[in-house]
Amino acid sequence: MILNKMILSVFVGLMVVSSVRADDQSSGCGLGWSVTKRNSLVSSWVRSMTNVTGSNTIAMTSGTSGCAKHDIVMKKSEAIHYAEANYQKLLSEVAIGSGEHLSSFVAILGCTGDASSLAAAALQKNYETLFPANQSSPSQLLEASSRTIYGSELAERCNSLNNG
Amino acid sequence: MNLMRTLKSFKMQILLVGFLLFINLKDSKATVDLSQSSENEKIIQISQSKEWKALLHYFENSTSEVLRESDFFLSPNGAENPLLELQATLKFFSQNENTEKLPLVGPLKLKPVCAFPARKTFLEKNGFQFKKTSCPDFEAFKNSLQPESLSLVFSTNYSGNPASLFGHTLIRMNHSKEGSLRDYSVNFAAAVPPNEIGLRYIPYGLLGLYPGYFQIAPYYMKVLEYNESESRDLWEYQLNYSKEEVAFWLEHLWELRWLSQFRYTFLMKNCSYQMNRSLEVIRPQLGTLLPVGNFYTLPGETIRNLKQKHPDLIGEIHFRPSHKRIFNHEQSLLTNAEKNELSHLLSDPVHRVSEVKNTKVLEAALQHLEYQKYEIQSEANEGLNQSLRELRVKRASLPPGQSFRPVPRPIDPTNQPDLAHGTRMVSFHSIFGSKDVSELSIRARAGIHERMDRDKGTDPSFSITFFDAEIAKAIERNRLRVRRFEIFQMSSWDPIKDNEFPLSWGGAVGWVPFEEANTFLALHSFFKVKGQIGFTLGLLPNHFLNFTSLLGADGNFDQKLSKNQKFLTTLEERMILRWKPNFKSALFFNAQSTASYQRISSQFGFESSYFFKEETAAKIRMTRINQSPFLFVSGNQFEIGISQFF
Repeated sequence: MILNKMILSVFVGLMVVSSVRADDQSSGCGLGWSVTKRNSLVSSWVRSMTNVTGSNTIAMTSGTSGCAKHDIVMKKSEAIHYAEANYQKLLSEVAIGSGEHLSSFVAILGCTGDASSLAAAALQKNYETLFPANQSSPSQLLEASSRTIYGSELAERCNSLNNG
Repeated sequence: MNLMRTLKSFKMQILLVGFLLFINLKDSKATVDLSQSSENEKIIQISQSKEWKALLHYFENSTSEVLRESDFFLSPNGAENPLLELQATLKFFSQNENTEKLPLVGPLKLKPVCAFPARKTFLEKNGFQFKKTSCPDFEAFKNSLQPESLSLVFSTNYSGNPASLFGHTLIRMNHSKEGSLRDYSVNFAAAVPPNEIGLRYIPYGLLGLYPGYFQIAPYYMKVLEYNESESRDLWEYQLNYSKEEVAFWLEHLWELRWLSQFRYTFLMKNCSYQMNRSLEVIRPQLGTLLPVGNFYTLPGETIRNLKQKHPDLIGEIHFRPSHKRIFNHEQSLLTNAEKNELSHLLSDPVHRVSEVKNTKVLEAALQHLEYQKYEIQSEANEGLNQSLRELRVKRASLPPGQSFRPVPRPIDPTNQPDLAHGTRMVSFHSIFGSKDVSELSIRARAGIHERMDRDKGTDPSFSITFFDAEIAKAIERNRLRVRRFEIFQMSSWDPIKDNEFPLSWGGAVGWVPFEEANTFLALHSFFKVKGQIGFTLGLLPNHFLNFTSLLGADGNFDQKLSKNQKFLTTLEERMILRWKPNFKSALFFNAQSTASYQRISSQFGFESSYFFKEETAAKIRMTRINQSPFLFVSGNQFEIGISQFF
C-alpha cells in the first residue's frame, strides 16, 4: 500500500512538472483560455458580434494546445487545464473549504463522495503554507493539492487520478 | 447426308441452346432490373425524406446550409442534390477498403463511414447494411463525452457592455454526474482572421462574410466566460430526448464539428440558429424548432419559441447565477452592521482583515474583489492580489463551509427567457393635441425590451429595439406623416447599489420627421444620432422605483437645419414606478437646448402601461410640450394606445 502511494506521488509529481512545462508552451485548450480577464470593449464587440474563433480551431485540431485532437482535454492534462481556468475561483473556494469548482477539482484528483469534503477540509486547513504568496500559480496550486491529498491518509480514498 | 443431318442437328441444338440462353438471360435481366428499380425507388424516397435532408442541413430549403466547399459532402453536387449525396454515401460506405481506394475525409482523414456516423445509423435503420469498420477517433470522442442528456443554455445579455446585446445560446452535454463543471459544451461561432482589420468585422458579421463552425469546449470554460468574466446569468433548459436520440445527435455533432462550414450572419444564421438546427436532426418530423417569419434570430426568442411550441421537449430548468448576482445576493443577506463592516473592510482589506471574524463579511468581500479583478482585466494588480490573498488566508483560518445559502432562482423581476414578451410589436394609437390636430397612428417595432414593457423574462434595466416605425394620419385634415423611424435604440439604467456604481447610458440612430402641418405626406426628415450618459438610483429594491438622470447630445444631419439645430444638448429625467410586474407608470422630463442656448425646449408628462394579457398592453401618455426645437409649437398632447406583442 505504501509502495502504491509512493508510485502515485511520483506520478503526480511528474505530471505536475510536465504540466508546468505545458503551461509555458500553451495558453490552454481552445479559445477562451485567457478569459480570466474581461475583454476590452472592442475585443468584446468582436467576440459578441461574431463569437470569434481564431487560429485555435486549427491549433486544437492538431492537438498543439494541450487538447486531444477531438477538442477534448486529454485526461492527463485535465487537472492542470482545470486549475488554470478556475484558478481564482479555486483559491477562494479552498479558503472557504467548499464550493462547486472545488468539488470538481478534487474529483479530478480522484476524491468523490465523502472523500471530496475531507480533501476540501485538508486543503483549507493548510491554506497558508500550501499556497505561499510569492509562489502562487495554477501549477503550484495543483502540485500542493496533489501533495496534500496523496501524501495523507486521503490517498486511500482518492486512489485513482482522474476517476471523477 | 449424315454429315448434313449432323450439321443440321448441331445447328438446331445451337439455336435451342441460344434460345434457352436468351430466355434465361432475359429472365435474369428482368429480375435484376426489378430489384434495382425497387432499390432505386427506395433510394430516391430516402433522399427526399425529412430525416436525410435534415442530416444534410437542407431542412425546408432546396440546397444545404452547409457550404459546398466544406468536407461535408461526398458528392461534388451534394450541397444541391440530396439524391446524389445519398448515392455517393452508399457507394463509399459499401466499398471494400482492402480492394478499393477510399477517399479520406476532413482534417482527421477519416474513412467515409467513420466520418459520417449519424448517416450510417440512419441508413442502417432504413435497411442498409455495411461492413463493420473500426473508427477509433470517433470512439475516443464518444467515450470522452458520454452525454446522458442535453441542455440548451441561454446566457443573458450583458447590460454593462453594449457588446453582448442579444444574449447567446449553446448546448451543454450533461454527463451522468449531475452538476459537474467537467461536462462539455457545443457552440457555434464565426471564424474571424486573428488580425482582422479595424472594425471590418461589423459589416462582415452582418453581411455573412465569415464562415462559421461548431466548437466543443469544457463547460467550465463557458461558466468562466459568461458567469464569471462577464457576469451573465446562465439558464439551462434540459431537453427531453432519449439516450438513443442523444447518442444520434452526438454522432451528428461529430460530422458537424469536423466537416461542416457555414455562412455566419450576426442577425440571422448565428449561434442560436445553428444550435436549434442541429437539434432538428433528432426529430425532423417536428419541423423547424426556430421562430418562423423573422428576419432575425434572437437567442432568448429561440428558447421562448421552443417552450411555447414544443413544451414536451423542455424538462427541468436550472438557473446558474452570475458572479454579480451572487455578490448582490450575499450583500442583501447582510445586516446593516455587517454591511458597515464590509465597507470598512473593503476600504483597506490588507490592514483591516485582522479585525474581521465574520465569515459572511469575508466571503462577501472575496466576491467583491474577485469581481473587481475581472473588471480591471489584469492579473498583475499587486494591491488587489495582496488583498485577495489576505482575505483568503483569513477565511481559511475560520471553520469551513459556505456562509450563504445558494442564490435562489429570481422570481420577480427575472430574466428567464421563456417568460419574456414577444420580440415583435404592433400598436395602434389615438393622439389628441390641444393645438395640433388629432391623429390615429400605427407603429411596428422589433426588439427585446423597452422601458415601459413588462419586465418578466427580460433584463429590467436594459432596453434594445430596432426598426421602430410609426405612421400617423390626421383625423380632421388630409395629412399622413411618419411620426417615428428609428433604426436602432438601446439603453441601460442599472441602479447604483452598495459598493457598485454602474453608469446608465443610452443611444439611438434614426430619422426624425419634420412636422409640416400643411402638406399631405410629410416625409421630410433628418438623420439623428443620439447619445446619453448618467446614473440611476434604485429608490426601492427590485426595480420597484427607479430614478434616472441622463445628460446627452443629439447630432442632427440635414441641410434644412440651422447651425444651432444641428447640435443639441439634452437632459432626461425619469422616474419609473413598477406597481406590479405587469403595470408601470413613469414621470418624465426632457429638455433640449440649441448649441448657443438661445432656445431651450422641454416636454414633461406622465405615461403608464398595463399588460392585461401576457402579450397585450394598454398604454397612455400625457405630455406638456413647451416648445419643440423644430416645431415652434407648445401645447398638451394625450395619447392612448394598445400594443400586441408576438
